[in-house]
Amino acid sequence: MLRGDADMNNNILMKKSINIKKFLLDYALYIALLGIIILFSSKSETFLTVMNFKGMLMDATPMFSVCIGLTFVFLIGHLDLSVGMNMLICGSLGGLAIVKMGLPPMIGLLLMLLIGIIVGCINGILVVKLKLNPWLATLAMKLVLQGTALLCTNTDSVRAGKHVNQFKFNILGIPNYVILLVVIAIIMQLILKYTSFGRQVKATGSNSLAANKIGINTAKVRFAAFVISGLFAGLGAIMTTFNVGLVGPSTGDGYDFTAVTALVLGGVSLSGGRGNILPNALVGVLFLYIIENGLAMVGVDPYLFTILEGVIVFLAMMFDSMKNKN
Amino acid sequence: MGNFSLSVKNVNKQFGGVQALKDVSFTAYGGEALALIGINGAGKSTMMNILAGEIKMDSGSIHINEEEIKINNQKDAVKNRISLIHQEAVVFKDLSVAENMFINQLDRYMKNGVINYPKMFETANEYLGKLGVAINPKTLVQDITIGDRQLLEIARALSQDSKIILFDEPTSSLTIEEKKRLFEIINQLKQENNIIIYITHFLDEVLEICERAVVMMDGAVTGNTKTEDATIDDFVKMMVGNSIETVVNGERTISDTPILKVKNLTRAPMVNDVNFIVHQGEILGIWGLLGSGRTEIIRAMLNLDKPQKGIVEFRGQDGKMREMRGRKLLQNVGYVTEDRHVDGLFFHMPIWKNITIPDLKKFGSFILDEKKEREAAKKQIAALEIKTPDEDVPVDKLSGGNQQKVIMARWINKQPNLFILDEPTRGVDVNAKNAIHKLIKEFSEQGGSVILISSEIEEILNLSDRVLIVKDGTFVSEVAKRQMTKQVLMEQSLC
Repeated sequence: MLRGDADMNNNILMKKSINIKKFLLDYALYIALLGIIILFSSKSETFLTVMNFKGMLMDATPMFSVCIGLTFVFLIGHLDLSVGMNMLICGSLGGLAIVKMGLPPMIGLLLMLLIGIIVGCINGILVVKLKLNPWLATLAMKLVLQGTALLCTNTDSVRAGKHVNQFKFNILGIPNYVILLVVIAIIMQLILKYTSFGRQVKATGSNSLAANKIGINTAKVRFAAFVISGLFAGLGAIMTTFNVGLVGPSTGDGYDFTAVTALVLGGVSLSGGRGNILPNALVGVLFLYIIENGLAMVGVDPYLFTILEGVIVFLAMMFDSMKNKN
Repeated sequence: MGNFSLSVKNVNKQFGGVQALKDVSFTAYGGEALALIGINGAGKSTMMNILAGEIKMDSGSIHINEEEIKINNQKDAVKNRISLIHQEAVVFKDLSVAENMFINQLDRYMKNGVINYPKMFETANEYLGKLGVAINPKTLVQDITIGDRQLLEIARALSQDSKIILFDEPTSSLTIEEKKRLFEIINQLKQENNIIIYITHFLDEVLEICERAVVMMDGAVTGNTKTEDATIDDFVKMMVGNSIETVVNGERTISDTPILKVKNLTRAPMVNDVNFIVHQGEILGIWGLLGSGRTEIIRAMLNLDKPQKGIVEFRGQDGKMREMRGRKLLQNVGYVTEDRHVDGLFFHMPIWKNITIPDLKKFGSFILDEKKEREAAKKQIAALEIKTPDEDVPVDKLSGGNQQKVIMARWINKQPNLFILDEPTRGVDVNAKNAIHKLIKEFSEQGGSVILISSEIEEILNLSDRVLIVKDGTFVSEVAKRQMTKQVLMEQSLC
């Protein structure tokens, strides 16, 4: 009895000191984010303004959309490197349908989603059915998609923006598509957290052998993750069309690795099973966009951003490993 | 070297809030094997790892021949001629036997900046010869058996001039032949005045190979005795504090209603034309030597390895037998194996999610009722006495025995009609083992059926209503409860 009490007291003390350290490690990203915001606002007057942040949110919508989908692929322990070029081809073909073929803009937008889903299905077949390595399969897919998109558009920009302007309006000063994406992100997070599908995704990524053994259809779950990834690349194309007004040859360029960076930074585990859309994916994306924007505001060489991006990933991984050690 | 000795004095070690070692002291002498025994979590592995330099102690001292030595890392251990033979040999599968043997002393074989392979192979042969094993040192490790890999680790220890050799559950994955060979080698090492420290769960091995035994419980030494002065019962008492009763399932009548029928199941070469029936409420033991095909039969039956031939019938809710396979079957049975690390648990997930995962339908067709899930999990945690502060603890923070209980809880929560248990208590401490045995018995008393595979003959004898003997991938005979003795089972499976 006595020993139990002593142990318990000990435990409580231990817990307290661990908690402070754990708190710092758990929220390192948020603390860093806060520090960066303070730093940039002291260096630039335009940085911490509603205008600037609104613009930043709008610019971040395509990347955030891609990251929502990619989170599912991360959670099952795979990778999808085709997301950027998937977004390009969705935007290009959907845009061409509106601009060149004169289809109603709404049909064009739905087409973007559909193409994204189709690409996701193909990725799913390659990885799940044909058991190809997801890195190589989606890398090959990325090249095929990029070539196809450039071929179809003749490397011209597809300017569908003016056709979809009719759908755009502001709610309390915020563009409706930004709000739409946030709502969708919340829904997807709820699906992840509170549905059996979400649980099965995490279980599959956490231990696919075990998931298989208890009768979860892991092939179906993994396939679904790739389809969702494709769908959100399509939504990313819609966001681009709304935000920039056009889809050009450089749209989606580098999105694949930036998205991976954002997720890793936000704390979505590359090995599967751990991570969420809210807050992890969102914070990861915001972090990168705030730094990029802030550096531009301060007037730093844009190449510095690339270096910084690398350093940030190193630091994020380091904190993560420190956290796991505890 | 007459009084070669290794002493540890008042060693303490704390992990997080847990005192893993409390004032541990003992002495081992040259020419003797000292057994270190205790249930899971008793602290034996922690003690070994401290001696091998893999973890550092908080306080205490280590002495060789009464002289204090410092062990801060593996190098210090090697310097003091201490080697640990791991439970699963630490080897590089893509390198040769010789390379593996000298992996941390390659400098010795460097000539003009390259490795002098002929010399290395020759020396490797020498050490393997000392152990009396015939392995070609040029063979890749992936091509040698698990038993040989362990001998390779021993040879590595000898090549480092180790005089103190620590064995961590060395026999857990060995065949009977390999075990015999290992014991011969240990005896030989003893004759050469080495110190052997031997960790095991198997008390009969302690009596067979060790001169003295140190018993640990909850991180403290609770017994230190010559093995000739003690019986297995004595050891068990020291290991668990007070004696515990064993669960025994007496003779009883079993209904004729079949729940599972397997016909002509074949998957060459390990499963050959297997036929059997499991009845309602029955505990069917499957007994056979390691490598007899007992696990493979179950895996083929569940379509985890695709069979070439065979029909599996399962009784549905309506009482009709119908063919069922693959995932459908997996969803209808509770399948528990010893490999909880590999294909059992979701390690980063909390206990409650691990318990409810196979039966999510019960908690909502699409949206899950988390409150209900937690309640179900709490109920199982209490019923199975899983030791945890709450249901939110991730399962990787639990001890092995409690992890296995979580897996059992998972299926008890789901209440399948058939439990398939393949070594359900392997690597689990005595208390947890008894709790699991009790669960199995209760489950069958409530009308559930169980297929039980185990390497532990007592487990099979105590629990089974009927035993099927496996040999060469098929069932060769059946033993009823009345004829069930150790003798009979051993004879049937060997002859």
